[in-house]
Amino acid sequence: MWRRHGDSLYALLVVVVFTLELGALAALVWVSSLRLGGLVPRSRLNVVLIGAVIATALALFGVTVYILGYHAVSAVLERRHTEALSSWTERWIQTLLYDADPPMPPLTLAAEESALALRDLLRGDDGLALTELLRSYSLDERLIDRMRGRRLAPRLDALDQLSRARFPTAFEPLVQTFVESDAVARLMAGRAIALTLADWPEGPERDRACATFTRALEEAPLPSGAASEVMQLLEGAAPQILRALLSSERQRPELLRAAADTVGRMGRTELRGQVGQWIAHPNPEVRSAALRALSRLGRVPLNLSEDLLTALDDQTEFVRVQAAHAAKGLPQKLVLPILYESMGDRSWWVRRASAESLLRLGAGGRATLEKAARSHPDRFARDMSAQVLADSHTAVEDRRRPLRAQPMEVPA
Amino acid sequence: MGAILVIDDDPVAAKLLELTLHPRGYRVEVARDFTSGRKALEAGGHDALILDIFLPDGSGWDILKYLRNELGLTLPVVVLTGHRQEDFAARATEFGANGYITKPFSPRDLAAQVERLIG
Repeated sequence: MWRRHGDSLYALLVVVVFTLELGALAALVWVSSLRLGGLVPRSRLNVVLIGAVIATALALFGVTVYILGYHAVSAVLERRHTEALSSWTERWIQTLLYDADPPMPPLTLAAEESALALRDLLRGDDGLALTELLRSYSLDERLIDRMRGRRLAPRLDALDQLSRARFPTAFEPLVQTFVESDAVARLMAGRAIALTLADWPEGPERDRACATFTRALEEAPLPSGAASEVMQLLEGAAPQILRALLSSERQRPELLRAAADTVGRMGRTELRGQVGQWIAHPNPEVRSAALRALSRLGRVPLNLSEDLLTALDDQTEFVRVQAAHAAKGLPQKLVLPILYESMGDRSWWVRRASAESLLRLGAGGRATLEKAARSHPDRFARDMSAQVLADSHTAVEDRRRPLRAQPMEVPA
Repeated sequence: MGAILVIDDDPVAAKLLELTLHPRGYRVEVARDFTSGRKALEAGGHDALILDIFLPDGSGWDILKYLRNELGLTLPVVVLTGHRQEDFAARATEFGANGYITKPFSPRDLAAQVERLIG
C-alpha cells in the first residue's frame, strides 16, 4: 500500500522537478538570446544563470532526500507489516485450532491478508471453517464489490483474494466475471472458481455449480493452456466437469484439447474412455492431446486399438509421436510388430518415441528393440534402436551408483 | 516428546506447523532458507524433518540428498510442497522421504503423520 502511494508521490516529484528545470532552462535560453542581441545587460544574464543553477541543485537535493526517505520509511513500514502479519496469523490459528475468541470487526488489512494467506494453506474442515469465519465479517461482499470495480489492478487483487478465500457465496459473481471479462480477468476468475469448487463439499449444490461452470467454460473462450491450468485446480470436482466437456459432440477443439490434457495430467483413469473417443478427431491438436492423455494413463482400451494404429500413420508428425508413446498401453502381442514397423518412420521423433515405448514393454519390447538394432531394413531405425539401448544401459548404470549430493557452498 | 525441524520459507506455513506441533509436545525449530536449514541439520538433535522443496537459496531435494548421503541421517522426512508436479511424489520417495504432502494441507493430518513416523 505504502509503495503504491510512495510511487505516485515519486512520479509527482519527478514531474515538478522536470517542470522546474524546463522553466529554468527556458529562461536561460531566452535571456541569453536577448543578451546576444545586446538587449539586456550582462548582470541580468548572470542573475538568471545563477537562478538556474540553484534550481537544479534544489531539484537534485529534493529527489535525493525523497529517495533516501522512501527507502527508510519503506523498511520501517515493511517490518511493522511483517510483524502485524505474524501476529494476526497466530491469532487466526488460535481461533481455528484452539477455539480462541475470534477477532472483533472491523478487520484491518493485515488481518485480512494473513487470514487469506492462511486459508490458502488449509485443506478440509479447518479451511472451510476459516472461510465461514471470514464470511461473518462480510469479507465476501467487500471482495465481490472490489471485483466489480472499474480499475483493473484492484479488480485483479480482489480476484486473487477471492481465489484464496474460496467463498461459495462468490461463485455466481465469479462466473459472471468469467463470462463477461477480458482475457486476464477471465483467467483469474477461472482460477478462483476452480479453487472454490475444489473445496466445495460434495452434494447436489456442488453438482449444480459444476454444471454452471461447465457452461461458462463452453461459453467464454480461454486459450487451451489456460483452460487446462484452471481445470487442474478443480481437484475432486474435476471429473464431473471433464466428463461433461468430453461428452459433447460439438465441443470447441481448444476445450477438448484442454480437457484431454487435464485428464492425462491428473491421472484420471476413470475418464480413459471419454478421452479415447477423440483420438480420431479431425483437429490434429485434439488427436494429439487425446493420445498424450492415453499415454499418461497407461493402458489403452482394446476398442481403441484400431484408431490408435491408424494414428501411427497420421499425416501430422506430432500425432504419430503421441501415438507411438500411447501404443505401449496396448497388449504386447498386438503392438510389438507395429512399433517395430514404426521404427522406420521418416521422422526422428517418431522413431525415438517408438523405441522408448518398446523399451518400456519389458523383455518382449527389449528383444524387439535389439532385433531392430541388428536387422531392421531401415538404417535410421537400426541407429535409433542402438542409441536408445545404449542410453538405457547408461541410465541403469547411473541408478546403480549410490546417490551423492553435489557439493554445496555455504556462505561464511 | 521430540524435536522437529521445519525448513520452509513461507512464514505462514512455518507458523501453522509450529502452532500445530508445539501444543502436541514437540519442540519445533524453523529454518527459513536452504543455508540455515543445512546448518540446523548439521547441528543435529532432530527427530523429524518437514521440508519445503522450493527455497529462496537452494532446493529441498539437495537438502534431502545431503541429509541421506553426506550426513547419513535416517530421521523421518515429510516433503511439504505447494507445487504439484507429476513426478514430485516419486522423486521424494526416490530421494529417501518418508511422506509427501501438497499444500493446501490439513494441519491435523500432517501432525498425525508426524506422530506415526516418530512413533
